[in-house]
Amino acid sequence: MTSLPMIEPSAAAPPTELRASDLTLGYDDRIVVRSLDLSFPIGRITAVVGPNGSGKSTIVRAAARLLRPKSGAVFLDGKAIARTPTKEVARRLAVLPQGPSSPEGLTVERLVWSGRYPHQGFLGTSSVGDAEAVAWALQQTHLVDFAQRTLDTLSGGERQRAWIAMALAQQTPILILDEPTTFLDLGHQLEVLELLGELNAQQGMTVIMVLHELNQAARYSDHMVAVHAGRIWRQGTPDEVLTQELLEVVFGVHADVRLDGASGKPYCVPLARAAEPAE
Amino acid sequence: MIRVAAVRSGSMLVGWLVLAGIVGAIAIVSLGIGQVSIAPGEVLGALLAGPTTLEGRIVFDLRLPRLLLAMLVGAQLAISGAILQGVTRNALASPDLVGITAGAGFAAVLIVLVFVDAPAFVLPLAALIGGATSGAIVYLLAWKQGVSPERLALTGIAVTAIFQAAVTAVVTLRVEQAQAQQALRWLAGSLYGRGWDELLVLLPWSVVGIAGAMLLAHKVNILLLGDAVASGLGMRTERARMTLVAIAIALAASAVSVAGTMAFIGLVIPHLIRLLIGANHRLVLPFSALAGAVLLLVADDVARTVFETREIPAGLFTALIGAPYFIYLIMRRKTQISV
Amino acid sequence: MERRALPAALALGRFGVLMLVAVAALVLGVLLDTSFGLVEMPLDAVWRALTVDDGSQNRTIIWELRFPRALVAAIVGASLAVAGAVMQALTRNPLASPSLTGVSAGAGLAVVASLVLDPARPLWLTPFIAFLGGALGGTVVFSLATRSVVTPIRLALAGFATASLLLSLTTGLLILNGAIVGQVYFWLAGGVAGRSWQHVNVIVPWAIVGGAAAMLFARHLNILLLGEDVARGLGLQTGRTRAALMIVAILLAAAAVAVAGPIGFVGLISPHVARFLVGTDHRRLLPLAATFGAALVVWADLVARAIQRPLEIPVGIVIALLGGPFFLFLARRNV
Repeated sequence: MTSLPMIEPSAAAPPTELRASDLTLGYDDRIVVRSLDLSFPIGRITAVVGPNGSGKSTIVRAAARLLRPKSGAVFLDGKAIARTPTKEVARRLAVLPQGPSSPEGLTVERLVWSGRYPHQGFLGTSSVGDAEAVAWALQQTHLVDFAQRTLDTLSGGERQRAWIAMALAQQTPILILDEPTTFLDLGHQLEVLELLGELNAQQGMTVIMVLHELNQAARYSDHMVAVHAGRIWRQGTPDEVLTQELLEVVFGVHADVRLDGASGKPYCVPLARAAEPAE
Repeated sequence: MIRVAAVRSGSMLVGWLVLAGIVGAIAIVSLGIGQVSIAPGEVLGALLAGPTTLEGRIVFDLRLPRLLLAMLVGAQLAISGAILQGVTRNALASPDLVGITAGAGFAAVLIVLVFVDAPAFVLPLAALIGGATSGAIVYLLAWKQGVSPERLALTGIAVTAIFQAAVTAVVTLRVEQAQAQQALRWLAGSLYGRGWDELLVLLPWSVVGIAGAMLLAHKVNILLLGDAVASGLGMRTERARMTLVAIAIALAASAVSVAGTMAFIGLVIPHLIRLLIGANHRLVLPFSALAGAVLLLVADDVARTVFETREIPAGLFTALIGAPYFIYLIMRRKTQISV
Repeated sequence: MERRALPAALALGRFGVLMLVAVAALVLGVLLDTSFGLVEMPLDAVWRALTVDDGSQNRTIIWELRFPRALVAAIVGASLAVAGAVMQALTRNPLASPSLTGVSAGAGLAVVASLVLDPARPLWLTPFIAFLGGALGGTVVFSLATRSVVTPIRLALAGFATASLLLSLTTGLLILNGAIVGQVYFWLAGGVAGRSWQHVNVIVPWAIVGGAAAMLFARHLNILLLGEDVARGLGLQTGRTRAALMIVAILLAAAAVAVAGPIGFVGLISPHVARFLVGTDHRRLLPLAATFGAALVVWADLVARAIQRPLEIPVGIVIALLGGPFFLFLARRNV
């Protein structure tokens, strides 16, 4: 698919780590996450799962420096992210928040161009490198023919791909997405997840995503982190995490967990409500 | 269960009696202050004796109707504001928002500055028609398969701006005239010189409007749950909204026609009452009425007496109350903008 | 039906054409506004008076009276338009504008208060006073409107309530000091009558600084439009950028109010018209909105003077009578 050579991210060295250390997070006076340690595997796809209100989005937003921790720190390549200039962070890490709103009349091309902001100076002059990055991003997301379309004329899946294209134009080795498939229908959900898988396989991109759907998380990720009441309940391979115990304890559901022969990944079939989830 | 209800309504009755007593005391004192000072005891005597003595005439002919008017106007504006805040689901709504005051103001300045020779009774009549008409215009313009709270508010802002521009146009074109000060004072809101004539004109509107508002108060509670839920509960939401807005317009337009465009009572009082006692409009409406009545009464007293030789328009004082109240609203982090 | 935007080159050409048209309309408006007046003058006489300093009476009328007035109108219109465009982008609210966010009302109150308290204060001080008042008004409105979600409607209502308050206080000041009522009331309506080179000199520095800053930040506005999280994810320092842009907007609005009184709706309408014509890229939207706003005020001034010759209606009223229905149309469309 890529007729262009893969473009190296602007930082010379690939990323070494994205790590949260002793993180306490909250909103106003409500503490959501307490003293959390979490290291995201580089070069892998990590899915963060958990029930509503468990803190999964909070953790991921903090990792993307969108939320300032009450205590503790997030380390990117050994340096505290809070002390790194935000544009520099944006060259290492791209983030796609939940349900982004698009201004009226914005074209796909202009949206993707916005992704070059962290690489441009104050006056915002564009370089050849910028144009190449934008073209590459459009190619990767199969949106070249959609470049002049406005976002509101696209389907849900296409629009989400456009936002991913923007993040790709940032040319970062790490991509963080907060619920990228919620509100999309099934076909478009798979479209997005498959694209992320491609990016990981072909470019070695580190993908961290919050996912609502457990089976999708298990199928499309290498590493799963299950969050429960602000703490990491378990993390590991999908086999290790997606278990009957997870469904019972964290989600309060009796379920059957089976192995999908084709993908080799587990999947769960909910059966009935269990007693109240244990704290 | 019944005993609890009885005890509750018993203590509510006591509460109301206490409030009535307080208001009565304020009223007696108000009747006594002014250029001619009358002691409270004499006030009572004058009330009983009627307009026979000098004090009696002052109390009866001058101050009593003015006091009753202040209370009615204040109550009506407050109730109107409470209804509109409930219907628009926004605690910053007011009769000014839906164009009533601007329309009334426009009609009034036309009479005062353009049709200068019209007889005295035309002014309040024109203001009433102007206010009611502009309120109706706002409602109609906001109609798009029904009137949503947001559209009502935004339409009101637009129409108010247009009428305000028209008012300014008339005033600036006629600013040299002797009547300019009179026009400005009307626009500020004043009870100067209002007597029994004005009270009798207002009374039918007061009775019908206030009764209607109290009877329909519970509908506001249902509307606050959202149109979908309200319809699910069997309410005809558009009809209810239209009736409530009509009552609010009638109450405010009639009040404004008599007293001029008095600022802030319709905004501040219901907002404050709701902060104090919650969003049950069966209670919010009557309490707002009472609070509005007392507020305007006190404001008018101050306006009458603060300067020895002049009278200040009462509306100036209600506006002055608005300023610190806004500051208070901002400082309080818990302000409810949606009801 | 898909709405295709034009490919880049064509879009740039289209922008150029639109700017050309807008500038032409503006220049024409200024010329007409300058030639119109009590003393009838044919166009060639007007041109002579503009370009040749021959000390004639025509020259005085044109150069000292009418031309600076038209200039002030244009600069005021441009400033308000840019202020409104910046506010709309900052708040992502199509209803934001200096008059609806309490900035104009606050600036107006501050200026009236200073007129009442110290009628002799120098003219160049006015924009500073207006800035303080405008900042205060804007702060009040945003504080009132800010809950977890600032919806457009909440901002509009907070703005309306605050403007009503400020207007009442202003009226109160006028009543207490009856002598200057006429002068102040006229000023409050918003207009450029009697504005001279003095006023031009006062507003030009503010307009230039504000306009240049807005253009420098145009790209940042585009990014901010994508939402807080996305903007931060792209490495924009959103807090700082927003604050700086807000100051620029208030600066422009306050300067306009200081010189011409609180004129409403220019800041609301101009960005919408520009957006309709060239889209949301602020590098194009800002110049077009500025030119449109300038032309709007200039032409409105012409109308205001022509309607009731020889009397003058304040320009603000003409614009309000145009702007009100437009706002109505916006409200119906968006809500």
